[in-house]
Amino acid sequence: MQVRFWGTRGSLPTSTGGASIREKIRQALRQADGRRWETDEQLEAFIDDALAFPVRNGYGGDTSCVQIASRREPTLLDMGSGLRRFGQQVMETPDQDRPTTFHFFMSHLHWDHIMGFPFFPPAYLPGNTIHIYGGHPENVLREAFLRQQSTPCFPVHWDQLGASIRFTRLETDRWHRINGFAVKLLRQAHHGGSFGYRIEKDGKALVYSTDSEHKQQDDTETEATVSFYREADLVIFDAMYSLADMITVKEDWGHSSNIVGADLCLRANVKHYCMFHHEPAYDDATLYEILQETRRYAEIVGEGKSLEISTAYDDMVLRL
Amino acid sequence: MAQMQRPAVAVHLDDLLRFASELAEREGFAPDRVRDVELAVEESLVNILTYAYPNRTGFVEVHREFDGRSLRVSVVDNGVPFDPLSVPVTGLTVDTARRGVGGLGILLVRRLADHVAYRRQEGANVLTLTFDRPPPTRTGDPVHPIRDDIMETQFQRIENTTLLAVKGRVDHKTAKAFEEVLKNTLDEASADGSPVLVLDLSGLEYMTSAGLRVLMIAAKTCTSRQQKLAVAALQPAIQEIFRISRFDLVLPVYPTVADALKALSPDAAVRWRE
Ligand SMILES: [Zn+2]
Ligand SMILES: [Zn+2]
Repeated sequence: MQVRFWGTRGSLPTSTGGASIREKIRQALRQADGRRWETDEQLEAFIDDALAFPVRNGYGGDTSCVQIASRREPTLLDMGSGLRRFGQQVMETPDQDRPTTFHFFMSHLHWDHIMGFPFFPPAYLPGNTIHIYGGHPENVLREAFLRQQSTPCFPVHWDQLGASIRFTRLETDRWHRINGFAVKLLRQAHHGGSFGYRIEKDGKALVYSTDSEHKQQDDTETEATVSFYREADLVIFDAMYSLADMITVKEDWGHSSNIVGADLCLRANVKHYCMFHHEPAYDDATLYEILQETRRYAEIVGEGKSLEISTAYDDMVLRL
Repeated sequence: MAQMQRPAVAVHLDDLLRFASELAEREGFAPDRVRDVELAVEESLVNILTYAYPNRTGFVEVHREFDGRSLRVSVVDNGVPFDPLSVPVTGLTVDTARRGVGGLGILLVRRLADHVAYRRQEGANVLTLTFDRPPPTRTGDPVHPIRDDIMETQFQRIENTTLLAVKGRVDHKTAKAFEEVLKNTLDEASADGSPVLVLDLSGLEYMTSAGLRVLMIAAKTCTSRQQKLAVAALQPAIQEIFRISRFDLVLPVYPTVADALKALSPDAAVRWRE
């Protein structure tokens, strides 16, 4: 199984911004310290080896959109602004290889998870089929997309799209077979409800669990989450806030924290915990620092258990 | 000292005796001993319900207090003056008394409690039962498995300050128990007009987000009641967890208990001995 992140930011797209770029340049130059490189390869190697991730790269600013590699028909989770770049890639694919059927699993219908759709060119092409699955009722799913593409929000209306678009509600508590994947849903605590997905194929399991507030207040709910995550190879988790924020000023905002994610993944014997849905106010340096801290936290409370921890960034690819 | 007042009618019996036994349970009395507390308090209450208010419905109160060694439960009514200790004890064993619950009630109470005292005070009957907590038995029993769900608390009242020492591990297994202890401690502190609660975490070895969440609930309760909550004497790993979770920004953290007391309650700081 291979996973590609097209968008990882929470709530609203962000840009790196001039000040932050300038800071990266400043740090890179200081690190280079007058060094010279004979070849481009040497320069590339310097960038990769000597510069820290937030200096040489960044987490990106597109909102939630994750692709799971599948054979012919692409499979994606959510349609945040990251979907635009995926659509671009599809359109750059030579005609004979270009997919015509797409499968989307929707966590929920908040704006940051559907905003990429009007900018997804395959939706405009007659002959294409787009399956949109979710835990919400079909009319609720449809309504959200319809409203987004109607006056005054967007000039191109829903009924002007060329593709055939099908909405399907997926029940929780049973496995579904879709596009070669075994798929199960878990209802999560979030405004209007959201759904986590456990997706399995070839003996590998991925959990996509974003926009979910794990209060750990109700044991039944916590246990349900732990068993949903159990032994997963990868858990993509809404780690938007610090724990203190999550349970004080941002209580009931519908998101979780980096260390709650670590605790749940440790309890569930997860292999790889991937933090996702980043707070728009956090810059690259902050997100990088949070990653170090979360690793340290898991080391302290993990008591010898091994848990790989990463922070998702736009264009990151993971192989399970 | 916390108290509960209810009309002296049978429907409130359970609430009242559980109010007493709950503290015994929380303070680590053995299950048998907790049942003794319940039984003794029940007998005392039944006595009041039956005899104290022949012509009217009055009130009954249960006061409870634990001083680190003994649980003191007082049962108070302002009905007909009656000293149950004036009844002579002859030829009674606990076993026969148990069979005769009701008639032999007060005698049973005297057997179950380590100490019983009666006083008539400001028009009220006050019967105080004391139950000593035996020191924890140390067993070197090899078949006893190593437990990872141990959380212990120790309570101390110093002037206007409640000092609660938390030991062991607070994670998803023990968080509920920790939540209950903190809630009850805060309720009692509030009932006693004790505005400061200091958590001595020097014995806390392990804490996850489940435990931090409980601390935050306590902090919110304190804020709403204008009580002050602080934590002190964190071990280095716990200190790190506080920093990573940003709890050091929302809860006052002091290097030692003495520092916390000095900052929050100078009176308690003077009286406190480590
Ligand atoms: Zn979102
Ligand atoms: Zn949302």
